[in-house]
Amino acid sequence: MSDQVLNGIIIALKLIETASNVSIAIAKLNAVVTTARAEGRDISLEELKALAEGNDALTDEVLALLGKPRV
Amino acid sequence: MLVVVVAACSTIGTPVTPETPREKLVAAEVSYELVLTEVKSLTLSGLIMPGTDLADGVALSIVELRTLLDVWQADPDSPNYLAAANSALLRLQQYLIAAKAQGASLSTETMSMAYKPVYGDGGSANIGGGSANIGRPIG
Repeated sequence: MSDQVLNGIIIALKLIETASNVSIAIAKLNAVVTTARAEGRDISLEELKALAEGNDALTDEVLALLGKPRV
Repeated sequence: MLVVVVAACSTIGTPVTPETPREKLVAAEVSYELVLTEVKSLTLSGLIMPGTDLADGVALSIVELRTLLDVWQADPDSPNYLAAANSALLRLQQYLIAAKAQGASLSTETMSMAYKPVYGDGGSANIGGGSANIGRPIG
C-alpha cells in the first residue's frame, strides 16, 4: 500500500473520529443547557466550575503532550 | 473519503442555541474541550509533533484560550468575552486543519473543504449556532 493511500486512510479515520467527538460535545452542551432551561433557571456557577475543572486537567495533559507543560 | 465524513456527520444532533452569557460560556467550554480532544488525538498519532512550530503555536493558543475562559468564568454574566473566545477558537481550528492537511499531504485549502461538513461554512470551531455543525459563532 502506498504512503499516499495510507495517509488517506489515516486522515479519513481522523475525520470520522472528529465527527464522533463533535457529536459527543453537542450532546454535552444540550444536556447542560436543556436541563437548566427545563428547571427554569440559568446555568449555575457549580456547573460552570465543573466544566472548567475538567477542561483544566485536560489542558495540562495536552500541553504536556505538546512538550509545553504549564508553569 | 468525503462521502464517509458526510455520512458520519449526518448522525450529529442539533445543538441548542445558547442565549444567555452563561450558556455561551458553556458552549465555549464544550468547544474548548472538543479542540483539546482533537489536539490530543493528533499529537498521539504523530500528526502534531512536539518541538515543531505547529505544536508551539497550538500550545500557545491553548494557553491563551484557557486564560480567557478563566477570566470569563470569574465574570460569567458578562457578554464581553464572546468575540475573543470565538477568535481564539477559530485560530485553534486553523491549526487543526493545518495538522490534518500536513498528515494527509494535502493543502490546507483542500483540507478546509473536506472539513466543511464538520466545521460548517468556515466559521469558528465552536458549538452553538443552532445547526448540526460547529461552524458558527457562539453568539
